[in-house]
Amino acid sequence: MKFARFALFASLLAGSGALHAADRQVVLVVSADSPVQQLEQIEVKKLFLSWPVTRGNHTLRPICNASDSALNDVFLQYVVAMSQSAYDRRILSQVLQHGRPRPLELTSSAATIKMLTDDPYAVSYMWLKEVPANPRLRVLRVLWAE
Amino acid sequence: MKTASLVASSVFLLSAGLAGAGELQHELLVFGSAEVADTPNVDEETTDIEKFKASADVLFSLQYHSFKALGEYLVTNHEADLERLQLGWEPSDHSILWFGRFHQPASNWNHVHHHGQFLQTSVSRPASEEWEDEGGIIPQHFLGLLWESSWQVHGAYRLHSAFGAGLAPVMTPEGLEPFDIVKPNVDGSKLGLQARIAYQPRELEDTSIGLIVANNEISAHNGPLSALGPFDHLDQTVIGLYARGDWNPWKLEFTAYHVSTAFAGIPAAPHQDFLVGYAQVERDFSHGIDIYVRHENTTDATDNLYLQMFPRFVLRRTTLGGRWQFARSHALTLELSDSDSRLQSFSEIRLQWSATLL
Repeated sequence: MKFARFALFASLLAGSGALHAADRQVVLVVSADSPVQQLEQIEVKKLFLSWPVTRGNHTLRPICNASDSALNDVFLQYVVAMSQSAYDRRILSQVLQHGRPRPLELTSSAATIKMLTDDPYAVSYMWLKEVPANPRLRVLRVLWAE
Repeated sequence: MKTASLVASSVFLLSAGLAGAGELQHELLVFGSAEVADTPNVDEETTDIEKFKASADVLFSLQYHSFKALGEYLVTNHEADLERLQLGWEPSDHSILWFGRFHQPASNWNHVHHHGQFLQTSVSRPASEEWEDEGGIIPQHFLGLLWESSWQVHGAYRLHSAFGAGLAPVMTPEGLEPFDIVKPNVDGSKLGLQARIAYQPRELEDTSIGLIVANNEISAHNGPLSALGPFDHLDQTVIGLYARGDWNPWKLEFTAYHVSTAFAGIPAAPHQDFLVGYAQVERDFSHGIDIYVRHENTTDATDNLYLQMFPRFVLRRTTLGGRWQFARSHALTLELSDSDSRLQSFSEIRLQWSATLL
């Protein structure tokens, strides 16, 4: 965990000169067409730990945005509050014990955005600067800000 | 292997057939492991330990609205079994009714780990939690109904419950034998009932304590003999208590079962009981390293007629092990044990690789 924090701060410091303060935010995003209007912090945590979170009889689908390691570190530290191995173990246990699918993990923001726009019940997170200017996505909340 | 391929193909085809349905969710997960073990100066035949074991545990699930299917297929270098096949109806987010072959809910260890070797820190499982075909003494696989539910209370803690009812394994001269879905063998099987209730102080953390109760009627099949002769069936009652604690970097797992048995069909057979339990402590270190120690013990075993039918059952064992998890989904584990069965005392050395493959 100490290493993860160090890596996070090091990567953030390295890029700090080039980024505006508003860009150093991680936001929770859905499709602009999504019926999801808000998600409480505890619901976000449950969602990414593979617990069922529903809106209008529809189960929400979490998408892990693994496009860069600093974003992943923010997710682990501030959203689910556990190490990578503990998180992996937790979601694998959900499959083993309850048959609940693992969150989809995508390695590019472009793929994440496409999945969000294709599925109104998909929920993911990304750097604020990566939210496109066009109105295809909607920010639900700020998960982390420097 | 053919059956495994058939099951996997069926799941893929079902997924493909329903692919247009937006609400369909599916999962396919494969755990792999390979293990070498040695028992110095002791013949392998007098223990239930295999010198080499390789396995793939295939899990698949499908969910469409309130309906769910879950399967677990285990393939090893000497067997292939459809361990679980459950069809479920989920009337709410926190309750589900299953029908099929399930792992009984009155086992602490198996309810958490099932056959997923990668997710259990140790190489071995406690002897009291062993599967029927590995010399287990408590029935684990049932065919019937399983109801699982949980409630959040006062917005703070959570209560979990599970109730199972189904066909219990039978007793053969080789030990317990559960119902086999691929080659059905219900002949003579009797009823088993199980219940569990657990208290979880913080909803999203692993720390919990629980009570479990089970009552199983275990039929005699193919003429197993007790020390007092043949019998019709066994009445077995298990009452247990367990606790799990997760206080990073420490973890604790404690379980105790009080097991009562009576042989039906032998008028002179006494009603007997024994206590079996274990405690495992784990400590996480940096770089993916875990160290663990476990102690298992059994009381009142010497003259117990039921335990006499399992001469290789490990009555006492102390285990020390270290696990290194690397490359996110692989682990190497080295484990040393000092064991006492009814037949002998011996040492065990195990080395295992385990992984999430898919």
